[in-house]
Amino acid sequence: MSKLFSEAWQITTVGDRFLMLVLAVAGLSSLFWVEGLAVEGETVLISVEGAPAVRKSLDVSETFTVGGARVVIEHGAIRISESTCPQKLCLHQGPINAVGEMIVCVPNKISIWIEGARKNKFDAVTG
Amino acid sequence: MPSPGRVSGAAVKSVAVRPTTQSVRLALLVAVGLILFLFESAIPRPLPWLKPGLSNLIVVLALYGFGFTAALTVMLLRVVLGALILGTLLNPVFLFSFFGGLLATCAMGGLRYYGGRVFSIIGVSICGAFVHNVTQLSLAAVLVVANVQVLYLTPLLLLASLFSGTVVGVVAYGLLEKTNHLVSA
Repeated sequence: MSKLFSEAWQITTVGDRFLMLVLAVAGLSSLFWVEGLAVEGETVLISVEGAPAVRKSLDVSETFTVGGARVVIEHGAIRISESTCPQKLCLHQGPINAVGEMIVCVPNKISIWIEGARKNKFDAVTG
Repeated sequence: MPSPGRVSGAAVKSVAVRPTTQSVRLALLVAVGLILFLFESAIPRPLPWLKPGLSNLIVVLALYGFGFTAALTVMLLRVVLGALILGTLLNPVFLFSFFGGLLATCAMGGLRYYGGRVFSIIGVSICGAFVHNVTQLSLAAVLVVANVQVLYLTPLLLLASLFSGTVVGVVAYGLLEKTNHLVSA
């Protein structure tokens, strides 16, 4: 297999290699660019067993318990601080705050989803 | 500097094949393409319509072994039969497949015949994968998701094009180079 690849490398043109380089650089750098696209969330929806249970604002710091998990909202982000589940994957995920981000704790059947985007500076502008 | 091999750039001799023989060979290519297509459909993916695009291999093989018309035929048959097997005929997934395949094939054909020797079979295959992915993602952005969230997939799109395009190009090169009879018997 590696022989095939080294043979194939021999026939690549300058154009090929340039194309590969461009795609690799653009692909890797866009990983960072995509980070910047994230929109900070305003509210968070917590569902238990698939049904929406509580909706909270990310602006108000508080700590509460949902199902088998202890949920902390602080600094505009939400995280799970304690959980009864065996692997603690939800815990290790850390805090989330961007619209569309999710924490899912499968054993506890809890899902946390950042939904509302932060509002504009003005509620409305009239002419 | 790389020496242009038989399948690099435009340096492929065209071969006259009897029509029946060619039909059988194209049918075999379509069958291989369907196997690859069904195989990658079985792999779990982040989004249902996002595939590595390994079945582009048969289009590249057809393009370099039998010419543009053959590549187009093989692509259309693969897309329609694949959709029939998976039951996705005429739904959005099929449209993604169809337009992605169509534009990718046209791009590869254009590059092979009019692109001079800028790209070898490997570069052409990467371009095909790239065009295929861009088409699918644009259609998804317009038809399904209808917002900017799709842009999150840009890194995946670029890196996946590079990876699958290279693999397909190298395998196609290997097959065409080692099995002369596939092309020229």
